[in-house]
Amino acid sequence: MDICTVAEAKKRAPNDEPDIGDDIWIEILSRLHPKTLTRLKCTSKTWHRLASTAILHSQIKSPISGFFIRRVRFSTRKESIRYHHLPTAAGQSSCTDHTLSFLPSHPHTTILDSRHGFLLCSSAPDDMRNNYYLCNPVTRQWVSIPQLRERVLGKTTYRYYCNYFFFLTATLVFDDPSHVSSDQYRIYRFVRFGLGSAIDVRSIEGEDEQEEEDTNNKGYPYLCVDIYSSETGQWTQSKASLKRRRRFFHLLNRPSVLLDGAIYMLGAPHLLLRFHVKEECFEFIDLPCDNLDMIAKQAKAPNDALSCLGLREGRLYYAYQNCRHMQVWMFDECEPSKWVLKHGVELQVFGIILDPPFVAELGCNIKQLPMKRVIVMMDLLVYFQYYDSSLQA
Amino acid sequence: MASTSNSTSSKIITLRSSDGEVFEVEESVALESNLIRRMMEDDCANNIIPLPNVTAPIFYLVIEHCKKHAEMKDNKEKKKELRSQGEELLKSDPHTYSNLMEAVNYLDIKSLMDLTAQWLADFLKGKSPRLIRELLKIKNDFTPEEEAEILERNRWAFD
Repeated sequence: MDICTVAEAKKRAPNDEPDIGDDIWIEILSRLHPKTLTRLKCTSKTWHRLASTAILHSQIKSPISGFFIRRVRFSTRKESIRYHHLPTAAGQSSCTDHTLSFLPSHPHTTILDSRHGFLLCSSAPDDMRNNYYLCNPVTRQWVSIPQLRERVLGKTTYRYYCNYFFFLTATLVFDDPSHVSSDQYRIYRFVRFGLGSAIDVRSIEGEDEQEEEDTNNKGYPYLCVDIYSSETGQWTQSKASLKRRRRFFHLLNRPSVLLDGAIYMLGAPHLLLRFHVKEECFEFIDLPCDNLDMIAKQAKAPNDALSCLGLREGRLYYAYQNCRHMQVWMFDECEPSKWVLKHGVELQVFGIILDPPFVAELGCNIKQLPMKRVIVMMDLLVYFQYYDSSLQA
Repeated sequence: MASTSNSTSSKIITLRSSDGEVFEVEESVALESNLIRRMMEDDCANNIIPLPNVTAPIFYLVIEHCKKHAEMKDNKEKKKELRSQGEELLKSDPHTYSNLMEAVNYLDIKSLMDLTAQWLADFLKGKSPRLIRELLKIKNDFTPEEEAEILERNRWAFD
C-alpha cells in the first residue's frame, strides 16, 4: 500500500472559513479546553458561534472538581454563594470565579440546580426569582432565560407579583444528557400560589379580604408548575397542580433532586414531593422521622429539622438532623417503609445536648456543631447546604 | 479483490473513494471505522464499499494514521511524532486538516477523532486570537468595537 505523506495530500488551495458541517466542528471543539475555546471565540464571528456552542458542551467532559455552597443568613435571609475547590484528578477544571460575579444578578445570586457542570441560577428572592440564568461556571458562559410574566388560573390571568406567587424551586432537565451535542434542556419551576393573598390583578380595586378568602377556597392550586423549553424558548404551564390540602403542608426552600425522570422536593412536615416529569403529576412520599420530630410538629416548629436531599450512585438520599441526631436515609421503594437507614450519629458524640424545648430554635443551635464534622457527614450527599451561623449573633 | 486468504493475515476489504480510486485495506484496519463495521455487519459489504464522501488523498491520510495509531499504542516516540505531524499539517494546510476531520467523522473513527482534536488543541495552545487568525487564515469580521468588547469579556482566558 502506498502511503501518502501530508505534503502529497495537499491538493486544493487552503480555504479561509470552515466549510464543513457545524456538528463536526462542535464535536471536535468540545474536546478542547475552555480557555483555548475562548481564545478561538475571539477570532471571528463564525468561530465565535461555533466555539460558544461547543463551550456549552465541553463541561460534560471536564466537570469541575469542587462544589458551591449556598449560604442563608438566618437574621436577614440573605443568600450568598461560595465555591470550594476540591483538588482531585488531573484534567478536572477549577472554577476561578468563586461567587459567579459574571452573572447580572451578582451579588444576589441563588443557585437553584446543577447538572452536567451547568448551574441554574436566579436572582435573589426579593427579585421574585423571575430572572433565571443558565451558566457554566468554568467558562463563564451564561444565557438568560426569558421571563414569564403571567399565569392563567381558571379563567383569570394573574401577573407574577411579589405577594401572591412564590417561586420555590426549579429543576434543570436535559433532554438527552448522553448525547454530547444535545443542548436542549427544560426548566421545571415550582410556583406556590400565595396563601390568602391571591389577588386578581385585573380587579384589584374594590375587592375586600373576605372575597379573597373565598377565591382561595374555591380550590385554587397551592402549587403549580411552569416549564421552559430551550427548543421553543417559551414557558408553558403544566396542567399538573397541587390543590391545597386540609393537612398542613409546605415546600421547603431546598434544591430539588432529579432521578429517573422524577423531581424530588422536600416538604414539611416530613413529606417528600415527587413530580413525574413525563406524566406531569405529583405524588407524596412520607419521610422517615422519629418521636422528637412529632413533638416538634405539635409545637409547630419552623421547618422542623435541617434536611436535604442528595444523589449518590443513582439512589436518592435524605439527610436530616434534629436536636438529637443526624441521619442519612436511602430511598428504596422495594422496602415496606421505603427508606433504609444508612448512617446515623447521635449528636452527643460531638458533645452537644439539646433539650427538646429548643427544638424550635434548632437552626440557631447548629453553630455549636463543629463544621468539619458536619461536612464529613454530609459528604455522603452530593449537594448540601449549610447555614452560615457565624454572623447570627 | 476481496478474498479470504489462507495465510494468517486478515481479510482484505476493498473500498472505493469518491474520485474512483480503489483501495485494498486489511480488515483490522478497516474495522477501526465504525461506518465500515456497520456496513459489514449489515452484510452490505460483499463487494467494493463505496465511500462517496472521501477523496483518495484524504483516504490515504486516514489509513496512514489508522495504522500509525495502531502501532503507537506502546510506542512513545511514535506518539510524539504523530502529535507533531498535526501541528505541521495545521500550519501548512488547514484545509486538508478540515477535510481529514470531515472524513474521520464520516467514517466514524473514534481514535482519529481524538487525535485530530488533540492536534487542534496542541496547535492552539497558548496562542493569541490574533496569531490563531493569522495561522488558520481566519478573516476577522468583528468591528473594532465588537472585538474590544469580546476581548474584554473574555479576558480571563488570556491570563
